[in-house]
Amino acid sequence: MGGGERNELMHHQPHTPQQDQRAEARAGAARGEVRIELDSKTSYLCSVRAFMQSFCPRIGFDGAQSSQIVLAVDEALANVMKHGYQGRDDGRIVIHIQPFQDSPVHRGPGVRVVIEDEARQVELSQIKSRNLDDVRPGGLGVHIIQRVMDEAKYEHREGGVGMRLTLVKHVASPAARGDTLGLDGQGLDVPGIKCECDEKGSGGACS
Amino acid sequence: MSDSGHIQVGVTFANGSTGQVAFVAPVGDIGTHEAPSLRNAIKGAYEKKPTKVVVDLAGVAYMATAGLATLVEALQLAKKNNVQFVLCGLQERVLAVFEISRLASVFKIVKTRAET
Repeated sequence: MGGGERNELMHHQPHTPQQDQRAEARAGAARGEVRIELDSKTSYLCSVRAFMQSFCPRIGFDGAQSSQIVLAVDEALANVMKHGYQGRDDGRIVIHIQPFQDSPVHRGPGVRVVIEDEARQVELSQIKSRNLDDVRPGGLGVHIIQRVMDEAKYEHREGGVGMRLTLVKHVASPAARGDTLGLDGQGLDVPGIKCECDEKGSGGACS
Repeated sequence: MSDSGHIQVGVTFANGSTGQVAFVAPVGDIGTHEAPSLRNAIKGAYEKKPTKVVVDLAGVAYMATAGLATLVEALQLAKKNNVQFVLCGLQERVLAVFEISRLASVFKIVKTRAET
């Protein structure tokens, strides 16, 4: 019996009940959501970073990819605290960390991180990066989030209060490859757009 | 050594060939909460009127944009006061954050203190 025939036979073997249970358990673990609820205290950010750095490798991300996710989540939370809650430290933030096996656009594992707050809503068109040629402090958070994650979607929460940011990253995504942070040194793809949140008080989303 | 937030920042001074050199050496992650500690330490170093400020980031494994903003402020202050401003000891992942923000070419960055 050749190797190819053996593999084909193995492929068609029915699963035992024990195998089915294990597969179901693996799928269940992949579907399982981790939920973190915290006050808008910047002193809590280091704990979230530590958790994400330890959790992401369990999904399949390597160290550099995990660091990208840590950076994106940290920047997003800092934006909520600084701009959304405007420095108030008693605002609520909920982080839903949802590992998945397949997404609508990619096969394979990844993670979806949904960050919800109860801060004031920001005009969505104002949430954008700025011209990086303008060297000045601030305004880089949105740019970094967009660069290191595969998807970053801002929405208004239902009821007229609060924002929702959904971040997605796939283990096998092109953006995830490369050394260190997986960054290529390139800046924003769309030159000339400028964050004016400081001037216009756009709130929630632009550090 | 001052201890504020979650990081310690060592500030030392040495006599260089062109005057006094201030070495600022934070140890720990620099996020939004920790950036003010670095800002205060650099501000304190400037008050001694050095001719050069070196920020040694060898002890920093993580830096968020709040840390970058602090360093950009410090660079702007250095230019305004005709002080040299140098970064050294950047770990790969910290350097990558500078690169994605297009700030790596804005600063003078060297590998070690000896090269400053």
